[in-house]
Amino acid sequence: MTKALMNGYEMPVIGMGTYPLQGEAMTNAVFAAVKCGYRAFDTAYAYKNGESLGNALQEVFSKTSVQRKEVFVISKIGENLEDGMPDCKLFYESYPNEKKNIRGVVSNQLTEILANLKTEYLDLLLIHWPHPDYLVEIWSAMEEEYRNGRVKAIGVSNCREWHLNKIMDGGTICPMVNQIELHPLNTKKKLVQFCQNSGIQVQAFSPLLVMNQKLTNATVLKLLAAKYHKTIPQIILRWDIQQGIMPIPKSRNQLRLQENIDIFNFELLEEEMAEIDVLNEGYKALVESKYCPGY
Amino acid sequence: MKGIKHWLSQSIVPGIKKVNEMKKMILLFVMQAFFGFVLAGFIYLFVGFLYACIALFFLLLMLMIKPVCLVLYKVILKTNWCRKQVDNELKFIRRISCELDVCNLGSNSGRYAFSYSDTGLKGENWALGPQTLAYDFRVLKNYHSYLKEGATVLIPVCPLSSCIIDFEEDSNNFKYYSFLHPGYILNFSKATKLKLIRKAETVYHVTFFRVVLKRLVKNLMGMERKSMSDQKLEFDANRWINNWKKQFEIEDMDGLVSKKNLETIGSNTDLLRNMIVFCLERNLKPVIVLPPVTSALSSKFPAVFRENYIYSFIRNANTYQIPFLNYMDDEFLSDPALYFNSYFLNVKGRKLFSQTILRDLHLVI
Repeated sequence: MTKALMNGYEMPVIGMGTYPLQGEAMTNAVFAAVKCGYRAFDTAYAYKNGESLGNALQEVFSKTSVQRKEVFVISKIGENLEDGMPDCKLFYESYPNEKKNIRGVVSNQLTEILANLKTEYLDLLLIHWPHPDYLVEIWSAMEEEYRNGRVKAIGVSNCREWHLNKIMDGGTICPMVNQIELHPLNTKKKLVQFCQNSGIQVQAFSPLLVMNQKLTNATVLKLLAAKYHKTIPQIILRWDIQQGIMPIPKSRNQLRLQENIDIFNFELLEEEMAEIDVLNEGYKALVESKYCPGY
Repeated sequence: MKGIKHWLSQSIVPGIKKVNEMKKMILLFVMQAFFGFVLAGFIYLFVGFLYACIALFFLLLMLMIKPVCLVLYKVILKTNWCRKQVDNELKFIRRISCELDVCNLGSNSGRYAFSYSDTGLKGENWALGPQTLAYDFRVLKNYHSYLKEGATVLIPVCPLSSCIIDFEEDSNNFKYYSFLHPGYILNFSKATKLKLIRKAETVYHVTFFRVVLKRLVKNLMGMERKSMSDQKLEFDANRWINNWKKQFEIEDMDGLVSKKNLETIGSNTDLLRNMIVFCLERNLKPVIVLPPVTSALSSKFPAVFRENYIYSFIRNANTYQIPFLNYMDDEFLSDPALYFNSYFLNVKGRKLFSQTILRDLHLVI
């Protein structure tokens, strides 16, 4: 099942997150996912697993009937991670002794991403974090890559309204996707509304929040799971889909992968959707300003 | 408690490589014990039984110090008392809850001005001493995502906040290495970070006990509860004024502002304006606050000084007309019983002031 982005390019409504999979674990997970019907895979420069994903996809292409054009690969331009946090060396003017050439950095990163993924083009390139010092410059460089054809669609990640406004004011192309942390404990209703009104597709990372206890213990989710003979993750992912949000859950377990994609044969009622919304408490697995100072 | 544990697992300070540390400690313990017993054996053979016993006693004492400290440390760490005592030092590293209603920035005057514990609001005191306005902004940039939409950001301004951009002494920035992003630490160096980690790892337990001990002494002496006599207040107020005059090269409080200070005030005006814009852009409500001081101290700031160093600075920065709450001469809050010196509020004072300001902002009834 796909959805058209604002440039008409089709994107699967559900994808698979790949962080922190590597090597054989990645290959096994990707094979299992493809078998279950997944066609979208999400990685990032910072994850350092592009090569593993590239190898896994090559194996898929050679051993199954699935072809490159059927697969939707997403990656992100961003900082390297140090102790699990972005090191902010590339896109922060405050970082000492660093001369900035944003266009060059974006171009080189994309070249590296494509080489690792063993592909000639990316289906979707995102800015991992809205680095405040060079947000518009990074976006302009991505627009150029889009025009050159190395990427089929461009978007952002972790952006709030003020970031999107800045990009829309300073750039020439509107972001096509905004990938954000979104789950019943943090519904970001206003932001989702803003994106949808602007024609920006919302993609949800951490949609299941590693099955946080607050989710697994939520009575409303338990009741709905029982009512529809589904699991709590399935109820949450269905809640995403019915809002027009595209989730990218991560799992390496074939059963769970299958379960996560088996969400298109039931429908939640409007009042049930609202009941799930009530769980919102602004919970953040990733506190944005710590990952992206000046956020 | 959870916060401190989180800090232990996250921060650069404690044993990041806990398992390796434990292995190393056990190995060291066994080696020390082995060589100690060999030495005691030699003493017994060549000197005598009594001396061997004394040597063994000291050996056991030395061997037991670290494990005992560790056990004590674990026990103390579990108490609410401990958390309360070292809270200030850990506030950025322990888990901060999301969706905060209010926070404050600031230097020592902010640190001792706010306490949200009895207000019924989710609030965090993010002031650190000493801290410049520039670092206030850096802290805000790193931590604002903990605030809920529409949250209030209190920006306390000290009488001479406008005259300092950044501390010349690099060691003043060391405290930020454990919780600010490297890109936001002035003159950040990896070598310094490694040095601080090494130092923190080796003296961490000592530092912990030192902090607790310092707090305990302060508490026992009631240093943050007691108020000063009038004579002491006057002496203390003069001390503050003289130190500031020296630090900022101010000859006459009624005189003209030096060129150097004017330039700094100009830069800080832009900085404060940017902070306000940053908050407004993110749907936060910034409020500039001039915290209360004793009348012994406030009387030392003549009208000309206030206009030159405080009011014009705030007026020029506040182009967006955000609220400015001035408690400097607040009669109700100038009672010396609310302060532990002429400048800083004591525990009772900061609770009263926090209630007052939150009420003035209609955040509490």
